[in-house]
Amino acid sequence: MIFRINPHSGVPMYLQLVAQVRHAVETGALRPGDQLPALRKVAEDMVMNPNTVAKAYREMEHAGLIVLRQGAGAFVAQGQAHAEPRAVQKGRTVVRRAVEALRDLGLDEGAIRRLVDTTLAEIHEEAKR
Amino acid sequence: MSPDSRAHSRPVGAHGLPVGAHGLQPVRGETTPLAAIFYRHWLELRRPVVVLLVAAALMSLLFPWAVHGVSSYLAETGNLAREVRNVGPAVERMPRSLVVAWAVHVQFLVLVTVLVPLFVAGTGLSHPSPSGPLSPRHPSLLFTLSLPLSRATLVATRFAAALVVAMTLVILLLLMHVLGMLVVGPPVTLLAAQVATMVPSALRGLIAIALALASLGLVTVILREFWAGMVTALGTLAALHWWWTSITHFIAGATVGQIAAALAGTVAIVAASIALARAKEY
Amino acid sequence: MTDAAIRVRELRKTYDGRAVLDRMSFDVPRGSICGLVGPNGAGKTTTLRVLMGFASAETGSTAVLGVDGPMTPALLQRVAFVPEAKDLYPFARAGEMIRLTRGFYAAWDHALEAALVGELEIPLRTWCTKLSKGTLARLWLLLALCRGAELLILDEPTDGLDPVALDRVQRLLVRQVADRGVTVLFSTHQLGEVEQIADHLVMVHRGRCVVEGSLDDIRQRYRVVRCLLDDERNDVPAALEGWRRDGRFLTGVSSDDPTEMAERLVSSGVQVLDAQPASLKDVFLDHVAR
Repeated sequence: MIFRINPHSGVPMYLQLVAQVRHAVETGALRPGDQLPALRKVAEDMVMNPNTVAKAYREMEHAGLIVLRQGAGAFVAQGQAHAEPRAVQKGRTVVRRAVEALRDLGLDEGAIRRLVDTTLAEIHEEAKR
Repeated sequence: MSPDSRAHSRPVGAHGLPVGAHGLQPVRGETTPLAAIFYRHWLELRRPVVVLLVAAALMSLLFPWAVHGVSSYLAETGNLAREVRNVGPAVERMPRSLVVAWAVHVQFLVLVTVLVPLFVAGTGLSHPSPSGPLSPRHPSLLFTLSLPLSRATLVATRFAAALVVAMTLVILLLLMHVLGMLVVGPPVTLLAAQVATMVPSALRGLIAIALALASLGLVTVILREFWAGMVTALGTLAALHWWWTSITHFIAGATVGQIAAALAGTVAIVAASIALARAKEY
Repeated sequence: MTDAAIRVRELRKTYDGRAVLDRMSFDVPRGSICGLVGPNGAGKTTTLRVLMGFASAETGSTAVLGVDGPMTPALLQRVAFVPEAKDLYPFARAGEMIRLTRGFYAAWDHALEAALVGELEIPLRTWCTKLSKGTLARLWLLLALCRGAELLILDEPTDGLDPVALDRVQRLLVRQVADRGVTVLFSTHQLGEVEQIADHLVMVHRGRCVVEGSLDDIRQRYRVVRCLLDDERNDVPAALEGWRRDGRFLTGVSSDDPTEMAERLVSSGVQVLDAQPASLKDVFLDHVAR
């Protein structure tokens, strides 16, 4: 299980870990019922603060993404509404192309992120009406 | 509830991680780990001890030769009376045949009194290198300070360790001198009488060494490296030149009052070293 | 029992007329890994020295592991310290230092000692004076970790370590916290290390604490804000004094809410363009520049 966390990005590491697990579930790398690695192992393998890993696990439990079983460990929750893994794979190609196009327009990473967020918000607004 | 897959028997905090190490560790007592403390002092003193043992061995080898040489010299020049005066009033009570051996023994003790502190004096927060307390305080004293050990215990045990070294040396010297005299082959009663004069001198020598150890230890606490070195060098020169006779008289035959004063002085100086070491910032 | 492994309140200390500690106050929560950062001369090492009882502050108080007052030998049984100067006894070998330290701690972890001698590659027979800077740092860490201490106070523990050794040390610390819930306070110049393993931060400058809190809070609290002056000739509003100016653009770090800020600045002829998460380096440079 390889998670990629960037400690220097300014985004809290526990949120990054939650996002990574979510992504793993969405792509099918983690299926409902699969056991997550022990907290201690995750902390040591990724050289992350154990409190931060614990916070991520709590957050995921709170969001219903995982289930914590006393003495047994953390398991991916059943009945996750997730996209078909193949759709996500195809989606990755779409996003790559879009990012490259936006880069050609001269937008940097921050600007691209902001643009995506605001556009999603706009679409959300339109859908409501 | 813990996300960790192992069963916990330790107290677990709100974040799910074990709090403190209480469950795992044995109850810690308040006992002072004396063995570890003296092991530390041993590590510091083992090199100077070797040097001093070699010096003691040399002195012991020289002893019979010295006695013979001094006797011949005094016989030839007729200076026995002056030597007797130099060594002090205690000599007047001794049979002439004993005097020279005992006098040489006393002189060796005086030499030891001056030299031993240079090698083993210290407080545990400043340590002797082969050049003695002239060396600067080493940054490793922060390691010493981070040990679960009060500064008072540190200084006191360090003084005790140096004293043990001094005691070993003096006893060794005494034994070697007696053996040296056996080589000469005197009658048993004479030998017994000689030993009887040398033992009290050795004890007085030990008291003198203790006082010197304490004093030099205090110097290393009070003064910065350079000045401590200066004072030590000057003190050694003074001891060799001006104070030699006083030390000789003390070792040869100090009065009870003088001995008590020396002991009290030693205790007071060690106490002062402790007080200063505790107040000092590192 | 308090929540804080370390509590520092209003420490003051002057040296040669300069205020080395100027009302220094901060807490280190139990079970956290807390990074202590600040420029040289900010008072990091002095604070640690006062905490350990090597030096004393003129006023103020400290509490370690819930015990008020200065450090005592009994408390030192539960605390491990690594100083900035990594010298050990010049009259001892590495193995002897381990044997010596072992004798002082009832809670010494023999299994960990055996493991670390191998993992950290400690040459037991070598004299301490002959050890390289990196090996000394690793030996100090071994001596600190095997004591069974509840609190580790480390002054630049990774100074002089190559990336491989650094990685090993960070994993070790993380493992200790996960296994035993120890609290770690470490001072460093490398903000990257803090971002990696710390979950708490104390930033000091000129003898006082200027930023304190959980790393996540700080990441969410501080933003790099870019503003635009309506007119180049306009004066920079007082609130944005000290911000970096590039023509009409102003950039700076702020902990204010960007929307509120935008509302306040509109009247001064300043437009808030965007607010991005600030890295620790941004926060650090911003505070140190003042």
